[in-house]
Amino acid sequence: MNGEHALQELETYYDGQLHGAQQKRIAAHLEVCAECRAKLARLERLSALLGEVPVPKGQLTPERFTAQVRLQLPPREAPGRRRHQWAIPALLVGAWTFIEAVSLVSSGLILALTLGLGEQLGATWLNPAGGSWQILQSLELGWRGALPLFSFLTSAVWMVLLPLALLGGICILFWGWWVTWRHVGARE
Amino acid sequence: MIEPSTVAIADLELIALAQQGDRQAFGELVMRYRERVIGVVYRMCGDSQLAEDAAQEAFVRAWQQLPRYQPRAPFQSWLYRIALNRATDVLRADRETVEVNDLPLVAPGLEPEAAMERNALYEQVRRAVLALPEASRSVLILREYEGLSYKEIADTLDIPLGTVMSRLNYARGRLRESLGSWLEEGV
Repeated sequence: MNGEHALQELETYYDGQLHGAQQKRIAAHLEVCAECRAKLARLERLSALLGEVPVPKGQLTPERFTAQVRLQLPPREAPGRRRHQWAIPALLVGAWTFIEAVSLVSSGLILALTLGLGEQLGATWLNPAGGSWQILQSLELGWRGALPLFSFLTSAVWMVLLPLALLGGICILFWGWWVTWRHVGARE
Repeated sequence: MIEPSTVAIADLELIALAQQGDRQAFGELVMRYRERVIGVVYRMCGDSQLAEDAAQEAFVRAWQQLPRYQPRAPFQSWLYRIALNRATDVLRADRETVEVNDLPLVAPGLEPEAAMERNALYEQVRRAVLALPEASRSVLILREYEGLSYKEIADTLDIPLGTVMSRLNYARGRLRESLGSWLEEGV
């Protein structure tokens, strides 16, 4: 047993971290090796020397120290509210996704009906007017075709505006939630 | 004398209460662990005033992180980890302002000459410890001053067991070099 590896093993022995056969082996070695006994003695002296240096007495008494810590403790959020905090934006996003999906499907159907594709889609019950090309028909009909054309344009505008309006609404709701949460947090 | 098991159970109860927001229970934990936490931080940064401030901040962080604490890990090790992190932050933030000059008072009753000699010894030991790299110093402090096992040190610092051994070996080697004269003479 020699060199740095031996010293590390000796340290492990000194620190009481060896057990069983390893511990016995080092103990047996120490009985016959004066060099390792000297190393062990130096380790003991080093520990004693380190232990001699005290921690200076603090300026605060234990009670005052504790009181100052307690004064600095931030409020703890109620576990119930903290547990559901994540659910608010998740619910908003879920609601947004649902409304967007409904809007997309209904816009698609409205467009299909406007273009007179209800029959081709197999949704004759949605298209009582039959499978004619309403835009062309309305142009051919002149002023009598104004109503179907107006209906088509309204549907197209709704298809663009409705998702934008929904998106804006969700943004306002989310912003409102965030501002409220910040305000409540700051008040606490 | 209080049985260690009684103290441990009481700690767990206090921790559970503090986790639910009981400030009084947490205050009791601060009273219990104050000295050890200040000691660890002081050994890391070498300044008693900074150590007190950093220890307070460590306790505040502990309060904030307490809801996530799992009692499977020893509370003391968990607290030491927070304290050592805080001490490291302080050292990095105040590297230029930390001065190693607040010598601890020696025990009364010593002759002036003996007191001076003892102060010189304390200063040399403290400077030798502070000269160690932070990683080795924290391992040395947890082992030599707090008496943690290698496993506990590994868990506290989240490092492998082999790293604990090599850092400890390195730290002791450096101290043997810098404190050689005192070690030969004995204390």
